Amino acid sequence: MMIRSPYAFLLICLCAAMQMATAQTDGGKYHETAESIRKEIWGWDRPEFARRSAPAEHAKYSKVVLARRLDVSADSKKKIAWRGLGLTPYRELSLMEVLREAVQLNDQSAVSEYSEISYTQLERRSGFLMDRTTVIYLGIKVIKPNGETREINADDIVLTTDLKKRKEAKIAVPDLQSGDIVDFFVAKQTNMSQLEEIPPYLFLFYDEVPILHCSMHFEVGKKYAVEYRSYNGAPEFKTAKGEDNDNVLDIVKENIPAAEGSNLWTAPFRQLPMVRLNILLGNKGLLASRLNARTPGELYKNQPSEEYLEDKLRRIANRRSGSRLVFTMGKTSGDYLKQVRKNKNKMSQDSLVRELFYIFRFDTFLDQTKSKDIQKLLEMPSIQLDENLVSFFLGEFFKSEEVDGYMVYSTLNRGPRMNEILSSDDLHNIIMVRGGLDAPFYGFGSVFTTPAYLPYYFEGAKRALIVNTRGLSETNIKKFEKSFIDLPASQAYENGRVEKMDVSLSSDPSLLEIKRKSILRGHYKSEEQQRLILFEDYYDAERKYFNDPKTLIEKLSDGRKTKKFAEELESAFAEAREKNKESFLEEARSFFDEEIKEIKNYKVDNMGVRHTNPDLVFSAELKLDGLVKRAGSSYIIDIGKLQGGQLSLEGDQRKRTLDVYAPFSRSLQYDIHFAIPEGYSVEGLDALNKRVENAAGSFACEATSAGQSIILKVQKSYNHAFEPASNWKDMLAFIDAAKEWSNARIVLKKNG
Amino acid sequence: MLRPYISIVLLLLLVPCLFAQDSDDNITIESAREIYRFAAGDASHPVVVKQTSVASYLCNKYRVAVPIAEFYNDQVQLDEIIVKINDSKLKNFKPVHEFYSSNGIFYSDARVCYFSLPFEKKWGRAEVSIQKTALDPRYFTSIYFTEPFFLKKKEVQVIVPRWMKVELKEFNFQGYSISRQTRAEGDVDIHTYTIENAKALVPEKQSPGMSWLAPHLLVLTKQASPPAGSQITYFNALSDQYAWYRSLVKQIGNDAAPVKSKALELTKGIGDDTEKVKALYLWVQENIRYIAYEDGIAGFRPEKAQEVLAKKYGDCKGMANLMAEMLKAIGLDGRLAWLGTNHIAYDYSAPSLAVDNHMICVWMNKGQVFYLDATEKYIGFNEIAERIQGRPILIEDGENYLLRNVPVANPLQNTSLEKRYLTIEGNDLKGKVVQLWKGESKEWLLSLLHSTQRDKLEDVLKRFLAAGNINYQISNLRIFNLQDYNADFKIEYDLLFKNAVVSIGNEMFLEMDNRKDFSKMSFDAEERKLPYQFSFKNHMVFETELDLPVNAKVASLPSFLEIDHHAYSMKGIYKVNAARITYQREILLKNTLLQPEQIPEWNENIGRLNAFYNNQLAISH
Repeated sequence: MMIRSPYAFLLICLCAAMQMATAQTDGGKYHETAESIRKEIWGWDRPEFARRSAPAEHAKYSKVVLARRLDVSADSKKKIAWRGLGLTPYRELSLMEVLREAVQLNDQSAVSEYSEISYTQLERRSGFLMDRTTVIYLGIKVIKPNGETREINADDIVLTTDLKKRKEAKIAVPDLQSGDIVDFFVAKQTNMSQLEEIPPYLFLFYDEVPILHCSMHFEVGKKYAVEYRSYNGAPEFKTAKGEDNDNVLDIVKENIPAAEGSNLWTAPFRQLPMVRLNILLGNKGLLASRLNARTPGELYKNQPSEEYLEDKLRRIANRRSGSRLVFTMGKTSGDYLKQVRKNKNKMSQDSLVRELFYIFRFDTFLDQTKSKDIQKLLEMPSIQLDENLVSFFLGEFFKSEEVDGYMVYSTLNRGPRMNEILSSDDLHNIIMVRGGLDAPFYGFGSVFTTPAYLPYYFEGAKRALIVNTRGLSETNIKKFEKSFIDLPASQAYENGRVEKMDVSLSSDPSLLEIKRKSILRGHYKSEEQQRLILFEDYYDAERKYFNDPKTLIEKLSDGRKTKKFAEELESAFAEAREKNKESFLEEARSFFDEEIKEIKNYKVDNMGVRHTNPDLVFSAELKLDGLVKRAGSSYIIDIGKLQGGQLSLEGDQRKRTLDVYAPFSRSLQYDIHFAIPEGYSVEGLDALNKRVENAAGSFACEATSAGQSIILKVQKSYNHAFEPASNWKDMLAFIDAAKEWSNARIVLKKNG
Repeated sequence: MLRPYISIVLLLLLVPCLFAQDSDDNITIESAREIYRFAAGDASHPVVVKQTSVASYLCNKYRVAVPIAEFYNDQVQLDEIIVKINDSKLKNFKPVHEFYSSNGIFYSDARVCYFSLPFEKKWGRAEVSIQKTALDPRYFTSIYFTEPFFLKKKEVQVIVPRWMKVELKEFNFQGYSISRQTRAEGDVDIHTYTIENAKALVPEKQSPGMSWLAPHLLVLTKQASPPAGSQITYFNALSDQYAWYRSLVKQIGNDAAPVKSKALELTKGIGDDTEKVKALYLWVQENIRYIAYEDGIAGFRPEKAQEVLAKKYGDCKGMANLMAEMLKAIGLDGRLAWLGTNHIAYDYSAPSLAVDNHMICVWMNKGQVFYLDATEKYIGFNEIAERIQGRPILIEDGENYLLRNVPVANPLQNTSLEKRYLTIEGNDLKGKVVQLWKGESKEWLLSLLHSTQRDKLEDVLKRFLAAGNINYQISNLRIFNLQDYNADFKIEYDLLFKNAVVSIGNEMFLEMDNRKDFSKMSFDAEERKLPYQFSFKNHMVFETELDLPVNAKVASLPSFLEIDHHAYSMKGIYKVNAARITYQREILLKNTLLQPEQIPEWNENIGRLNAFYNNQLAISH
């Protein structure tokens, strides 16, 4: 699981609660239960919730969390019920989760934040052996500065969805003003069958505002196992046995200061104090080892990662034992596969693997016309892939073609460390092909991914697990062999954006004319591939590699049953091509952050989808407004603006205490040729030269003139994906230099 | 806001997101027929309007699933929807019914029913039949003719029995092929309108409300004498509409005591009436949050003043009622007033619930009327928001009413002024800056700043001022009147504008105006089909006094700009006085509506403005 923001705690808890809520259809009973829950929670004997002010030094913050507490109790009981064909015993899980928070509101933005609350009051899902009923109860009190307390009337709630299985509600919190304290709780009561998992808990001891008291309390019945881990200096649970031998876990942390400084490029799992905890239904029966089940009543602190790997491998075994994978190919890829099989002995292993990869990619993403779903085809370039699943199937396909490989498991480079995982979902996978390949790693990022793609989030991983899952029919995971490997990391130049621009004054001298060619490499490619490449073009280019002489439209037109579909598809393709101009315009606008007056001759010169030609190259002719100024007979050109929008770090963002975890190292390069108009000469070139270089990265511009041309070579490089916080000043140096260079100007002076 | 009128207007608003992926002509409506029949109902709903519509869609190019939405509410029930695909009833048809919320309305009884219309192949046909019933003809206010698709032909019939008095008022027929016919048939009159070859009408960014643009009928339900009942007067005249509003006002149930107590507390020690009103208005703006409930009759009847006071939230009606009650509590003449914002094309010459969508409080003071709209959170006393300027306003006056027009404010109400006093040091500019904002310019900025967390406010303001230029370095920032919306919002700071000067040999080039207001306000004349409505009339003034270095003189002074259009003016000039250069630029937007036919001229003038901006000062030394 990835957390985008270090401030996500409250959101995670509330959203999880609010999205999963539901089921009492009896409004009277709901109100009765709500009343008793309110009575219980408001009656907590916890002094932190009795606090009525924050220290004066916290007055500068928008709000101060006086107390925050997560209180969870989980229990289960055996039940028997009619299911399908007869009476079936099952275990019903009951879970009560309460998140309570008391917050002092210091300004209008905080008042707005707490003034309206939307939540799912009730949700019910049912199916064979799967019933989940969740009901959410809400309690809100407003405490005025004079100590007067007003509880929100539950009747003020309005239902915005009122269905039998789902009720959504909204409440406007009355009489809320700056200076007030809001003391509120969300209590989520869930009853569900044993086949569903209790979602994992994640609790951050980190916020952008001060927290005076933060606590977690779990009471977990003896039928459950509990796994937990504290990260990055977060406090450890104190454990004890409660009534009925329940496990009781507690954490208290006081006076957490407000987080300060930049949080750009952070890896919360590796940097922020947090606690994760899983509640699992234990199993010690016959199937316990097969399910890798945890023992009921056990507490597992800091489980070794092997446990989660085993969970992951069992999924492979289960998938294999379920049904045998059969890869059926469409005609184009199928015919080509036959040729490859026939010639494979004459091919190097590298070539063979690449050809198989291309066949798999074409068949999975392009040869998809059977459903005759035009929308699906048009949207195919931009679909988001389940990268783990696609990589797994790729590996199985390789095996079916007798190309053996390993599964490579690691965590994301911004996820938890490999030895700190707490879920099999923390592990992601790619393929490593056996046989001494130069580039053996095969992952998937998009439908345009080229062979030997190592996802950026795996780069530089230390001691990634490699697992030989053996043959397609092997389901005994004890026979899966494991070892470790360090994964390589790409260099900044490999993830590059190169902009080549021929620039001149337009016949309307207030405009700049730019012939632009953009070359995108490595991890920079996929976003623009998804924006600019049309399905039709991608299909057409690929089918030629497979020696298919006909376009998709031609093939479909040949078929009696597909002829009419071909006509429609042709219309849809034509329309998509027309709209493609808007995509190029959008790309140019987002790159230059300036008004584009005109765009023409836009095209993708190379899609960057083949290992022989892996760069994405596209070009266009543009006219840009606003970059040419006049002063008497001279022109002043805002040449620095041609490097597009640059990162600007200001105010609080310039301070940094956290290490930097960027997605990948990267570089930008601009080759700008500016044509000096006849009768003019250029001034101010020397001022363009700049060089800031340090271990973290660089920004440099070399400006020269040659005849009637100015040549600018500009480059910016982020040398590493990871930088220690101590290097932040070095990063600021070249980031600032690039930003400042965007104000660079040249002067064209009329000769004579 | 008062409750929205559930009609095709909502559908038209929803269209851009619903149909964004479809081409302009892939799906067309070949024919459509709508029948609106006034009929006798039962005791609780003596007159109802039965609505039947049938639309036949055609897929012209390629298969696609098209989303369709239909709106209803507590007063307009959705009776039946039948969908046929290629003449067969659609199997597994499961329309989704949901509450519909828009424009920040917290809760409304508006509901939307939506479903997907699956065209399985080119030339596929679909037919959607919908039956609805308006339970009270008061709520049946308009019939729109255009659709979110190209419409080949649509026939609209309004069937009015003789016992019913209804007037149909036509709007925006010009430019459309619409024929009309009225015939008598038995004891009913049948009004038939036929529209042909109408393009899809889709709102554009900042286009006016659909009632200004789309061809439609405003249905004025005046009176009824149903066969089995007595005569019912709806809105035969404006006095009837006022009487109905008045009857709702009488039902409010205000409790004067708590309101008076608060009003006295807030005006304690203030002698002057105007100052008292200012204090009350500011308090309501600051402390009452705008939260709109539009549920049934609550869409028209203001919430009790004491409830709004206690809850510290309310909709426009609740806030207006609290204001009026507070004024009354201190012995001033506070009244409720109804009006339609500029989103609505109608005035009170056509009595209808569609005429107004807003309520404010007015203070009648010795023949002077002050308009107090507390939903405008950061506007000053006696400053009037564009959306209500010039609008007809119905002011309560006991059993009678006053009909006035809200004054049209001078654009100078919204002045924003920036004045810089600078010197050149090396390649930097250095000096002091004063900026102030009035009226709706101030309201916009204060909205941004008050939604910002307290500890980040200065950072956010600096970023706003620097507009992404790290060389625009601000220090010693002083902020005035952040909390006093009745005063101009003002800031002062010291500026170091690094590398603002380009030095070449003995020449310096300097861009005096890095704000370049309106420079990006040109439109794509081919793409823009509808008028553009600016948010408010604007007045932006930017001035710089630049002291030249010793021995420096002006080498080239940009020529002046003067564009004086009846709807706007743009002026700029450089002046030299000894060693000081004064730059003055002023943009005055006198009219907020820019018609499509005005766009070429507007673009040309924006081009001239940009040419002026792009002309720099040259100094030699």
